[in-house]
Amino acid sequence: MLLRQLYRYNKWLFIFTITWLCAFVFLNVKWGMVASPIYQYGMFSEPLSIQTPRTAYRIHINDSILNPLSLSFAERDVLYVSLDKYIASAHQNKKVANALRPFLPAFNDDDPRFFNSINDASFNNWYRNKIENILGKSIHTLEVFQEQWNWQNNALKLHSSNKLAYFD
Amino acid sequence: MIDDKNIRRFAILYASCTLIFFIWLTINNLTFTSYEPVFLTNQMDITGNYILYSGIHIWVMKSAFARIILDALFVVLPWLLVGMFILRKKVHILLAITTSCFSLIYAWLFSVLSVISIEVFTAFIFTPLVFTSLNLKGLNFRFYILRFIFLVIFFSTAIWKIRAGGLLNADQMQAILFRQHTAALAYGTENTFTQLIKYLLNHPTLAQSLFWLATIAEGLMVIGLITRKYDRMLLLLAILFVVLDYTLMEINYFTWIPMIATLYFSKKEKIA
Repeated sequence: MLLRQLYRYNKWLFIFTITWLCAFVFLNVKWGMVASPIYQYGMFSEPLSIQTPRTAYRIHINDSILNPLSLSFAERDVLYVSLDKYIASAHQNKKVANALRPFLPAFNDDDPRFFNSINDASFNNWYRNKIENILGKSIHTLEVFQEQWNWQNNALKLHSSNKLAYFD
Repeated sequence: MIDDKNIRRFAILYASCTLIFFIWLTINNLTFTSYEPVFLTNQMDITGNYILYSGIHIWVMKSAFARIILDALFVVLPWLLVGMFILRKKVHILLAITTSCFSLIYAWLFSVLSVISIEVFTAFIFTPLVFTSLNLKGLNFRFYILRFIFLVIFFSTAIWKIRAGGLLNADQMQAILFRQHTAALAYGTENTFTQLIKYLLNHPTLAQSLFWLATIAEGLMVIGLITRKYDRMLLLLAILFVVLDYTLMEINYFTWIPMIATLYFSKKEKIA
């Protein structure tokens, strides 16, 4: 109905809408890459298991464990998701660069536009600043543990715990 | 046809949403200015990677001035656009296109430099394009294209859950809740929220029912593609979805309000 009226009213607007629709269907059927401003809205669609251990970060600040519930969920994202993203970034950037290389003008494997040059010490500084800004207090000691948890028999179960060396 | 007064109300609602979202970002240390990004996590986005090719993200990471400018434009452009639109200045067409393009770049930079997904910004990318017409009929058509885009996107989320297999996975919602709240459950003090999450984790049928109901709500959006008769019902479902996403999943989809609002304003149509 709308598309028919649109066709009669303004051919360019009709073409815009049809192009968006076709591109949306194509990218969603194809599954994988997207092209801004057309995205896939398939979050939480793939089967997930409660048995699969999930990564969480235990953060010790000035010798006490940070209570995530003392923060807003967005502040929690700043502290927990940024850690996760930093750890994943090297692999993720390489994966994306390899997949999109055929579609982009040539770039090198150390091109700063596609790969990070930040080292662990710089990240450590930045992360400490974020914590200090959010909590509003100075950090004397910081330790972060990457842990794997799952939900078994109606309770949390810890599977593994590794201290992140670059916060030492 | 939706009259001039309601189109203007819609425009103000859109600009207000960008402002409220920006305040929310500021309170939570999430603006570029306060987040001060230092690393990139790239995404499988072809257009987005052409933006990276320009090196703009490196400028954002290195320059405090760039971050302030980006944050300021995110709030100023929508209000400038709405102001010019209300004052009937022709420049609003150019401003609408600029605001849409800017929102796309801002959203992309956010998704690769910060912790917010690009999907959250969808409404801020498409809504300004409603105001690329000088006459009421043109504005109406663009408004209904926005409604159409919203319904297609929302409906596609239900299709994804069927296609990818999540819908028929018995512990899907339990796994999602656990994934969303692992840190809160593992290191947080017990409170009403964690008790609620634990209750849902221990009652898989109830949790999974929520997942199915959400999928049904998403799927029902297809009705809107056929008729506008049930827009109020779809509006309520969409609002309920966004509220539950915020409270239960801790995802802020209130940014979608400008697109959801098309279901409200479509019922304001005057019979000629």
